[in-house]
Amino acid sequence: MAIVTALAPNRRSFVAKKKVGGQITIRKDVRDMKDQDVINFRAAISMMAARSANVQTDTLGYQFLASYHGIWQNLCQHGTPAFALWHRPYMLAFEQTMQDLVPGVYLPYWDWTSQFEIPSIFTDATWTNPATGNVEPNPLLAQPMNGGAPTQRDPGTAADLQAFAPLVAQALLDSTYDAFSPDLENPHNQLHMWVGGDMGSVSTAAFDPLFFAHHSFIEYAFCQWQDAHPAASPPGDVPPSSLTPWASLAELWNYHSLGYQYEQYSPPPLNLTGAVQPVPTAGNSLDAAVLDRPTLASGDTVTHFSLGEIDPEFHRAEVRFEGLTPPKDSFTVRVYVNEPKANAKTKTNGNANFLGAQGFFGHGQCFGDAGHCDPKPRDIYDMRPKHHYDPVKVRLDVTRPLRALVAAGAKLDDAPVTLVVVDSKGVEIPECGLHFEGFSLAIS
Amino acid sequence: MASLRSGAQVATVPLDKLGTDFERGEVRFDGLTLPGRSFNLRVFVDEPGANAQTPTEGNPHYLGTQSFFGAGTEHGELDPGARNRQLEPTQIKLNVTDKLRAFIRQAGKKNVPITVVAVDRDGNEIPDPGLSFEGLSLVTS
Repeated sequence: MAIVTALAPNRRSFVAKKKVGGQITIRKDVRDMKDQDVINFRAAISMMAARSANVQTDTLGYQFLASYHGIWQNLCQHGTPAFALWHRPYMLAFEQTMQDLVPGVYLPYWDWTSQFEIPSIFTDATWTNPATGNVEPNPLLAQPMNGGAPTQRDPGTAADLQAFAPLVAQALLDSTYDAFSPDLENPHNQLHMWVGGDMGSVSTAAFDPLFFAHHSFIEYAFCQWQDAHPAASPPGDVPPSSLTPWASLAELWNYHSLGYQYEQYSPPPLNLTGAVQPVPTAGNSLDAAVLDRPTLASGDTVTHFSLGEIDPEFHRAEVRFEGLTPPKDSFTVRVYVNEPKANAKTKTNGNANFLGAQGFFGHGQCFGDAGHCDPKPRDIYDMRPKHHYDPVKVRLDVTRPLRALVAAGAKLDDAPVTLVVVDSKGVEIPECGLHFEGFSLAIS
Repeated sequence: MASLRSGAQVATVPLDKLGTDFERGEVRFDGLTLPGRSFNLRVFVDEPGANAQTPTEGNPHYLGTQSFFGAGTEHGELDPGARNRQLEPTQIKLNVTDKLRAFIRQAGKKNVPITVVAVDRDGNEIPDPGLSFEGLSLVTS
């Protein structure tokens, strides 16, 4: 079979992808929105609402977009493995519809783990619509519930809201999507209940504009979790029909290819990772002897941890190599605590001071042309995969051995942490060429 | 399949088979039909008389709260296909890792009952929350 295609020279049917060449949408915390950002957001919702008021089923109208979730299309996924995945393209579709009407607008997020009230842009009674010059009802306060009466809220107390943050932080530590999605869905459900009113039911929630800022934050958490767990696999038990009417799982899994990014709220720092507080106090910096050298030498005591009192029931402990340049060679780094003279002959099995081993899979010889192995600075709009030598964060789970050490009453004040580098046969590699800029122990 | 009554003792689990050296502990509600209304379900272990007044903070018998985001019923019928999707039984997993581990360390018991209490957002008990499920299990891995 042969196919011959004739293309018109000025064809319009082949529309270039929108998000290329620096057109990534940056989603911001509502507290970081500029005045013009808020105006754009309200203008977009106002225009979508006007379209629905003219024709209830208009596909660019607010009512149609809301109806994907509950009344009347009811396609959303809750209580299933597709929860986080289904809402990802939903937020994107909503944002893209806004952008069709107001170029440059973005979907902000409400971080309810650090802002314990509904943001004022959603509670103001009125706004001045620049298109008309009139003071009008705030379109973010309420929208018609399925074309009827305005949506209602009945929010709980700030104290109640504060209780949800640890649940999100805990979810972010999960190592698999199968654990992460339900762990995130639970506080998500509680937030819906906390807002109350129409937000409290699946069938009505999306008619409240606050819904989209809430779910933008859920998506932010999902993105953060994926960034922290780059090796995590997509779930195997998501039937294609559960992602209706969106794209396939393969297209949705990598959010970096979808044309948006999240900007972390700064001053004060985002509290999303608040539960991942490194316990060490005096030992948070690399020891001077190591700082003097560009790369790790086997047997280096890289830092001292002063752990103080630790609750032996802690959830998870990780050793983290921060700003680590992926090595050229492959080797294993063994991590010991309270073993300052550790070397390749120091026991691992049965040694309570052995926390674990991190394997490094080296890039090997350079097979590219000149400069292939020299990373170049990139801006945030660069959608190409990371350079193989771009710095990464490597996390080693040391939960069980550290828990056992603590339970045994080991002295962990000013405790030296020593790294030993060995090859696949256990032979010590004195100079492995490994470079990293920070080393920490995170306990949650 | 009958629906749940708040305060019901829904299962007895052999804790001595679980140990404490697990990465994750989950309470799993199997074959669960998502409810029409939203509510919180508190899960207690070895607390057979639990009710809405039973403390959660500082109570080693309290394992956690599963929040249910109800499908809603007060705005008319959904289209039949959508309604059927909403009512398909599913499995809900509640992460109870830390509290289960702590309880097992302290309690040293063998067979213990699991009791669930349904409350609204303000902590008021909901005697009949309209929740049905076919099985409840405690899973560690």
